[in-house]
Amino acid sequence: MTTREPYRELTPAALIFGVFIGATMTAAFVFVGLKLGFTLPGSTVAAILGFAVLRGALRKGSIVENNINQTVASGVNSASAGVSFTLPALFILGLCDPELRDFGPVPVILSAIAGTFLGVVFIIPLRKQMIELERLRFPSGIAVATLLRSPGAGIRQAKLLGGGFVVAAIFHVLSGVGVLHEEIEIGVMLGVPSYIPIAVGVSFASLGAGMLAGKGGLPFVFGGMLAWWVIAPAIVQMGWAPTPEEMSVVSGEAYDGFVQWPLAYSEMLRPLGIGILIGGALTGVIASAPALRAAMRSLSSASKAGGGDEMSPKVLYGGVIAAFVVLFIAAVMSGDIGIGRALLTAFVGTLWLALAGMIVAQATGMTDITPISGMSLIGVTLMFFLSGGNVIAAIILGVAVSVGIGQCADMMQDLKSGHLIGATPKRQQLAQFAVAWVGVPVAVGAVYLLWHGYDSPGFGVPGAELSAPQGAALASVIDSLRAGSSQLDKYAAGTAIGLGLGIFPISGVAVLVGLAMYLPFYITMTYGVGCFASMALQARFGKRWIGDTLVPVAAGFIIGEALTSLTIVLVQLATGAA
Amino acid sequence: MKNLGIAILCVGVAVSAAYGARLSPPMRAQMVLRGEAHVRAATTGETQGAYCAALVELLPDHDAAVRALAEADGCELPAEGAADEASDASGPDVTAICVARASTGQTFEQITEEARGEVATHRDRDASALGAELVEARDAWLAAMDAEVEPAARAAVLAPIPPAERLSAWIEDSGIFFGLGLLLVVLGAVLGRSASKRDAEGPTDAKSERAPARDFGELLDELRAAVAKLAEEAAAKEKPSTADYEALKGKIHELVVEKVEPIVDSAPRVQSKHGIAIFADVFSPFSSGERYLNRAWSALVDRHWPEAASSLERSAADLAEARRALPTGADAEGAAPPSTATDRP
Repeated sequence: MTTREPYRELTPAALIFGVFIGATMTAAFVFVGLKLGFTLPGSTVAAILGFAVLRGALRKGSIVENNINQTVASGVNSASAGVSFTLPALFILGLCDPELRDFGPVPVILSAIAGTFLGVVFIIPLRKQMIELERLRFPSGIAVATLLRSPGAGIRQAKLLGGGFVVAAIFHVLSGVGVLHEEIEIGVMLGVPSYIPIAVGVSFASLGAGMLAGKGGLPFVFGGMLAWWVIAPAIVQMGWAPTPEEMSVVSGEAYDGFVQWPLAYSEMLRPLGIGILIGGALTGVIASAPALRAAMRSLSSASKAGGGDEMSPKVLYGGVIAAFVVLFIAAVMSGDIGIGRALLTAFVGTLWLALAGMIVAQATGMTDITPISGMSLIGVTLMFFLSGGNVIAAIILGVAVSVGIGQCADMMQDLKSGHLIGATPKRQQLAQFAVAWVGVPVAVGAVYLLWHGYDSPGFGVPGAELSAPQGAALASVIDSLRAGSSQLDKYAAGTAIGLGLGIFPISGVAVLVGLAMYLPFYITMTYGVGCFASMALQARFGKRWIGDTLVPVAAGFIIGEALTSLTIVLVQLATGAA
Repeated sequence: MKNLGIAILCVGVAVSAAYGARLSPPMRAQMVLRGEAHVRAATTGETQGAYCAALVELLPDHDAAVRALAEADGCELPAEGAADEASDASGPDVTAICVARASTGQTFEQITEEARGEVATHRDRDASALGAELVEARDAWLAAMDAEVEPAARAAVLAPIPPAERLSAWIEDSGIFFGLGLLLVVLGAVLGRSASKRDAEGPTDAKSERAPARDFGELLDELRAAVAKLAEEAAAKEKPSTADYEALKGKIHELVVEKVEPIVDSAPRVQSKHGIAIFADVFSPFSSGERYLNRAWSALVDRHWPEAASSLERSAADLAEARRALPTGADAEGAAPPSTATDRP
């Protein structure tokens, strides 16, 4: 690059290549989502692919241009999880109920596009609040920034990054091929009942995220310990769980397993955790209102000054109105729900997306974990009741919520990376606006194709090529809703606790505690090991050492696991082993 | 006071979360039935797994009759010539049968009859080729399946409890203890909040784990001056050498570590002391200045000196704006770097 040229940032090459990578990832990740029930970390994979091609093979592209490329690619791809986790439920439910087969792709695409734009615009003020003021960690954002900065960070840092990458890759491969278990159940080895889990997951990405969070991640770990080491045993000791005698069975592994999963986790802690997340977010909105106002003021004055780095608040207002209108049209087209209900569902859907977007952004910022399925579940439940029990409308609007909150989490990671390498937020957001919607028709098209491409039905039924686990789970929740069941008591209790916790002066503590109850404990524990390791190392070597040594190693862990996951999935799919 | 607040908060969260998680009596009664079905299904799975494993182990040379029976029983035998290994069992699923029948509106009796019929079909198969030990394992599996039928059917036909009923039953049963726990949560949080405010207003405790306080405004001034100096040096250089690029990159890195990070660490204290609005007014331009410092570093890696120079200039301007937003004379005790992890990639 000669210094006479402007500094390359938002270029056609970065956009086009980003869209190409993003669209390819979207189609592939929809397939993976339907096959395995999870997708892969989009930003990290996009950064690795873009970096390898632009910087490595083509020998071009500045650091900030590479960042635009990964922003675009992961933004396009963020539709894959949202669509593949929700839309299949409609196909699956339609198998038993012919009335639910009467929907077309247009309202789904409109709804998902509205969700995409809402996700992008809600991030405009949240970027200032969470990245600049609250200084949330966004571990994957740091990992991507470390990768992008690696050409200038020196040999030592490159070796540390590479070392972390190799270690994570080796362990992930060993775990993937079954040599190592995905979780090490220390408690079971010691004879502790499985409903008091003492277990760590073999995940260097979780370990790395904990290392990057350090002391700030402790409420998450303590929340998990409270849930599984205090509440779970109390459930049994206080006779709240059915006893083996009541169930006419003998106690043993099967009984312990029942107490751990269907009872303590699915019926008690998980819905309670979702409620705490909601309550914490509600208080968070109130507590951070002055900061949000200040952020809006700052955005407004920057935009009035002209040529600023920030999106104007007018884009936020205009974007919300436009997306609301599109969502309303999608609601009207999606079923016979009437104008009034369509307005109401579109309005509440937009509000919920804003709140859920804030929750996932905060959770991702503090832990690198994005609770999309829980927030989508509440979104679909809300839409179901507001639409008068119209399943088609509920799921189609649920797609918007799911895609939108995925977009929020992804965009925040990208903006964090951007902050650390000095990218211009406005250019990242413009790029996202311009092309993020491309992922929606690709993802929706892929779901339709896979449904009809195999011997129809293509997923969700015994013997089908694809199991669509998330879609099947959502379909079963909707079946429960249609039968008149909902975990309202737990959501209400959790929301009250979250509201109370939100008063505590540590920002986001409710979100961390709620997230800890929402997740299986071995994930929390691995993250906690990372937090404690980081604190111990900082006490021993000092803060500078953490920045110079631990951060690149932890970034290597996150990147290594992401790339190895992708490779393992591709190999499994190619060999039919998945 | 802060520790007391945290202790009360923790007890409150434990009590309210435990009673919040507690099931209402009607829900618990349903879980008894679902639990029995779950445990019985697990037992069926275990006995079938044991039977299939024994089949592989005891009859390595599977003749056609054994292979046909194994297939019907859901045991996947290794392909002929392949190494023997215990296969996954995926035979008849009593629970799935019951759920499927229940979804079509069948009654408990009808479901039980059909599921028992399914088990009987398996029982009636000729298992004489297996030998006594395997027949015993197979019988254990069939008995487990038989025992699963009624609990699975009962669980399948359970009527859902309406949300409002669920909520009112839970409040009636656990509401008082949950409310008490919630009160403790609020009390602990309020105590923590007031202690935190007092900490921010008072001088930094020398015995605390925090590093000695430094004047926040002074730190900001030092950073701004250092960045402005670098910006001037960069603007003055027309034809930078490779060594110039590396030297400037190194200086920026040092500034980030030595000056920017202590300021970032001071953020919670500045927020507590001056309120969130002033904090936002200071940290918005500060963050922009920090971002331009990072941009200058990136531009130097990309060998783009003009961008690096202009980014440094912009960074200095933003930092000056942050300094102006800090109330004069009110910042003497502002900075106290706590030990938090670094963002620096």
